[in-house]
Amino acid sequence: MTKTKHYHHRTQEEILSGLLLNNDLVINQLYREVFPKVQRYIFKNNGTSEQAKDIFQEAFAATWKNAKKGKLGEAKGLNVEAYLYTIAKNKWLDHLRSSAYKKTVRTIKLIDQANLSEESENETETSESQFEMEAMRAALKSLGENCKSLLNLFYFERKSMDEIAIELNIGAASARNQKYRCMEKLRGLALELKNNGK
Amino acid sequence: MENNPKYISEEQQELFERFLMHEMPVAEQLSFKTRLAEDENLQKSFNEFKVLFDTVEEAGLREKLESLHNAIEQEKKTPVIGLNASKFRFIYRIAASVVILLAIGGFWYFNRQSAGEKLFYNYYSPDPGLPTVMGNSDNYDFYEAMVDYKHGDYDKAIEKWNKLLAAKPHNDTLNYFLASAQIAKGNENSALNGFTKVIASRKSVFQNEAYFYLGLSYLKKGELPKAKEYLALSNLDLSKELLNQLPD
Repeated sequence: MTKTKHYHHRTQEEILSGLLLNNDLVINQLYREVFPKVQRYIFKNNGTSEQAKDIFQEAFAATWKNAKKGKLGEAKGLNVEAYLYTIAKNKWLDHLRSSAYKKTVRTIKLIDQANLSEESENETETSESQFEMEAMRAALKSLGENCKSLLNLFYFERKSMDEIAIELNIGAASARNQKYRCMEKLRGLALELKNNGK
Repeated sequence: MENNPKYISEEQQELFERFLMHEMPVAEQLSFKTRLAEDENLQKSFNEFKVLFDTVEEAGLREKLESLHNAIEQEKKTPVIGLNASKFRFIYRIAASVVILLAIGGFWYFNRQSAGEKLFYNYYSPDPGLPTVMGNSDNYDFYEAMVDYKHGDYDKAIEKWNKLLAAKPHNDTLNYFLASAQIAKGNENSALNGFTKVIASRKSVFQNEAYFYLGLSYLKKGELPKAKEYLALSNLDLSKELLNQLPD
């Protein structure tokens, strides 16, 4: 895993690059800084803490994905916290716009206040790609703990082969081989679920 | 080489991994992109791999966010880490406090004694005794003991004077110098007995000295009220001076 500096103040560029590398400290800091603000907003607007958590984590994942796609800070300049906050806010407003709240005056007022500019997430996923994603997630769930954690170490935590070998108490060649086998297994499971669905 | 998009070799997977995780130098990135554009099968294999890769990565993120959220909630409810640390140290802090208090108490205790003792040693000096003019056979034993006393042979003096005291138990001179020898030896309690007998008559020439020494003895023993009482009864300047030193 790449190491960023251990001080608390980070520039926007550092936050972004940390996010791109799935850096633990950057994710930690970003979550702890922005979640309370989102929670306050959602509380003020008829939400519960459970809803705040779900909305925020969805917003976080969306921010993270957009960062990887290079979509952050295209227009106004880079501010990761503000971006994340806005995404979360808009997701909540989307929720409020749903059938349960559609007819309230308050909802309309909130929508007027919303900043639905380019920060709003582009949810153009087709039903087919959504289906594929569901199949993938299901396949991963059924993969088994050993493969899941191994692949997580490689692909999310981005630890080096040697680090992983030490952590799992196996040889480096074995770690490499197991990674390949786990991905093969995952591929097979995904294919099965896709084909079964179709 | 197998161009079936369903099959990916280990080498090919690692190529895809390096590209996706930005572990490729720029030149290699560009050539790889070119190859993808030119090779449809490669593109398919890559895209398929990318989906799997993204799935694993996103699942990793969501798990991380979930455990992070739980950690934050835990910190809010019960500051476990803080509490454990302070609980752990709490016992040691208490123990340390007890030790310190005992030490201070002991120190105070000893100092408390020595405050009176300090004053005692500042103000005490043995009575110089009576002039020993030998020749008077009536009181030979008495003055022989006095010589011992002046030499600091207090045990000898006490022994001899005690013998004389048996015959004259209320003799204030005997009682006074016996007590003086006792206090010189550090036997305050015995001295107190003797000095008390001296003042019993209220007419002794040694009255003021006896009161003074009584006061000093009680001061050394730490009995401040009695010390002050007796010091007040003595008209010696030294006694008055000492009395002024004592707290109210």
